[in-house]
Amino acid sequence: MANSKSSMAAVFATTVGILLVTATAVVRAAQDHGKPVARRGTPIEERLVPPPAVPPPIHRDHPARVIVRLETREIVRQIADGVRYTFWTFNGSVPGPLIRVREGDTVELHLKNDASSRMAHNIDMHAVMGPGGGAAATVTPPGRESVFSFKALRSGLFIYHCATAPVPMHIANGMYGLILVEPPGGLPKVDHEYYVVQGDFYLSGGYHEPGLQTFDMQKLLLEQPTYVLFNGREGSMTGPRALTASVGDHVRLFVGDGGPNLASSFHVIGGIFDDVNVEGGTLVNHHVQTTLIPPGGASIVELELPVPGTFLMVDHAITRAFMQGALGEIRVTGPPQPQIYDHVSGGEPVPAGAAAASGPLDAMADGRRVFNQICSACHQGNAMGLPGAFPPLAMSDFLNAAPKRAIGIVLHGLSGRITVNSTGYESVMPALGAQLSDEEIAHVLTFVLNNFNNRGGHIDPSEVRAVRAGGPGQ
Amino acid sequence: MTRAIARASRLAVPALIVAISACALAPAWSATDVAPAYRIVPGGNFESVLAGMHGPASVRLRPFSMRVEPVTNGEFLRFVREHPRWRRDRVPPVLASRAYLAAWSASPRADRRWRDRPVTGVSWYAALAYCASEGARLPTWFEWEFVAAADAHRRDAREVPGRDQVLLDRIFADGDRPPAPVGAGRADVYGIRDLHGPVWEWTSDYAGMPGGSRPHEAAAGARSCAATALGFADKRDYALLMRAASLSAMSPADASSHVGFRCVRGVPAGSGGR
Repeated sequence: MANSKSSMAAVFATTVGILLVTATAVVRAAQDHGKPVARRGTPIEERLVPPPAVPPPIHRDHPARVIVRLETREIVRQIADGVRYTFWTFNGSVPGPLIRVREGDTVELHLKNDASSRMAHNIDMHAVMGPGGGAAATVTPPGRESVFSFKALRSGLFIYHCATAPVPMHIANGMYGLILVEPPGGLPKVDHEYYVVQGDFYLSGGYHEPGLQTFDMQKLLLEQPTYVLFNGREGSMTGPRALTASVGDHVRLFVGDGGPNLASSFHVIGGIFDDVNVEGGTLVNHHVQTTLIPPGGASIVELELPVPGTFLMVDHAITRAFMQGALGEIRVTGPPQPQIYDHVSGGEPVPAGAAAASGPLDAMADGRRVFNQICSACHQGNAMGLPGAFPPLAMSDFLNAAPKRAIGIVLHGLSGRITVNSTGYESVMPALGAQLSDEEIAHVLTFVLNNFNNRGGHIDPSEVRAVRAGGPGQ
Repeated sequence: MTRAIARASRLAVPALIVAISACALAPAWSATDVAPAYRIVPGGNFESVLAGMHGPASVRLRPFSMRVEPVTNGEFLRFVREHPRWRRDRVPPVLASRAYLAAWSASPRADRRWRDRPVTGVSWYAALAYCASEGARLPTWFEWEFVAAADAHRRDAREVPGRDQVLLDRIFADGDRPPAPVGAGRADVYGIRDLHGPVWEWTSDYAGMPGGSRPHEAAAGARSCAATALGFADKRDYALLMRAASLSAMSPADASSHVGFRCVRGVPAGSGGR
């Protein structure tokens, strides 16, 4: 069922792709779509929404005059838990809102600069055919507003960014976003659309160093960011803020790279992009694992999610995902689809040698097996967890402070906010009491307590039995 | 004088005449007040950060004296009381935008810390008028930059390793809190303070700077970011780039919560320091 839906979508996308190319050729010949119809009536006020949300598809069969209002604001907020930074933004978010117009529209852009700003700001919009992409026309000191208009002559997905001196600093502080110029026929219908922009950030302190951090010039010049992030904050799309979909859904991501320096090797772990509008243009590629998005570029990717689970969006220059924050989640809910994906077996215990026959060693080997089979899926094989998503079990102050508390957590699960090694987490740990025996839980906890630089300790199966008997309220 | 200065003064001088004549200022502060401290800056040859396609790399400055600290809220409040034409409710909009002294309505005027903070939200016209009331004028960009190049030990500290970052950190150190009261910074070799804090300072010729970005000037071949970058000899001096880019985008009636000023005076021939 899911397969036929997928192939139909592919055929449809291909057809639209061909139509798109044709339409572009027509535009080049005509250079214009004529006067916007709405000019004679009321202009359309663009309704902007913060990322990762996307304005709805346009469904308009004629060009119009569209008013877009952006405001530049300089704000101090968290870039990661406990780490604050002065962001320069469009409309208070990084990225700025996704602007959605139709090919042939005349866009009237109002750029206001908040009175409390320190800097002048402007906008260079890559959808504009004209000097500076509008940069010269929109230089706006604090407390002022500039207005300029342009005709969106080419469809595609384009970056916009601030281009006031010092330009690299304005971009490094978060001043970018995307504008989608829909082709006249619109885009194929999908179940969900989301908006993701990667950026690199250069802070005076190291990764996760708490407090108010300032912009670090030397790191910018060396192109050695402290953070590489989706949507300007570590954990912007993990845990309770994860993107969501249901089994079998088709999801479209409008993905950009604000830079200033790093290209993105955009990948969804466990997913294949059915369609990619390469570089945001009209060329559509299929069955893509990882698509390259340069700074100042964008790409439309579409994928089917046929099985439930958590799918991680990463920059597959993978150090950035695990050490610098370039990580988001798509949570797919629905019934398992064993015909497509099935965990048959795995992590069988390695037969212990003669020397390992004693009780404690058996327990430890069993604990390792349970850890590798179950815990490592979220907490990772090295027990370091995933920043912004899953807390570490290694060197964990939370675990070592009360090892016996862990019994109830494994049995009954845990949700809500906890702080581990001074980082806040808001994920959901599933209850494992139904699938693990008292012995297995005792073994895995003992294994974790005596590995990964934890402080040691022993959990006895009888303790697990007692907690299980006490029920979840304990 | 350089071409850049000549170009700037063509823009600045008519505005100056408008400002002064419109306001019929008394030229000096009253005798009972404490005269603000000025320190002599001997001038000399100087390589500006603005050097490049916009003028010779080197400028020569005559001696002048500069205020030790930027003008404070307390000082500007006294000025407005003595010259009520510059009150928020009386100043003509052509000389000061709606943002002029906008933060004052919610300010604790009896608070000493408020009075000692650098005044911001002042238009270029108002800053000119204030300086005239002290028998002074606004510094040129080159004068301001000449003094700002110094640190506590040397007249030109710009090549000191790590300085770019130190200056950037000072700009952002306060986060979104108001700037610290004046006098907190260490005095430089001339005895002048607080040039590198979070407040940009008006210069008399800001309108002619590259940077390019003034929306209302017709003669703006240099409006783009590229022109700004090309107009700077040292593209790594972000602290100065930020100031220049911000100032050059403004109109003289604009007032910003991050822009204040200080004044300079000429030095009579022969007393021009060493």
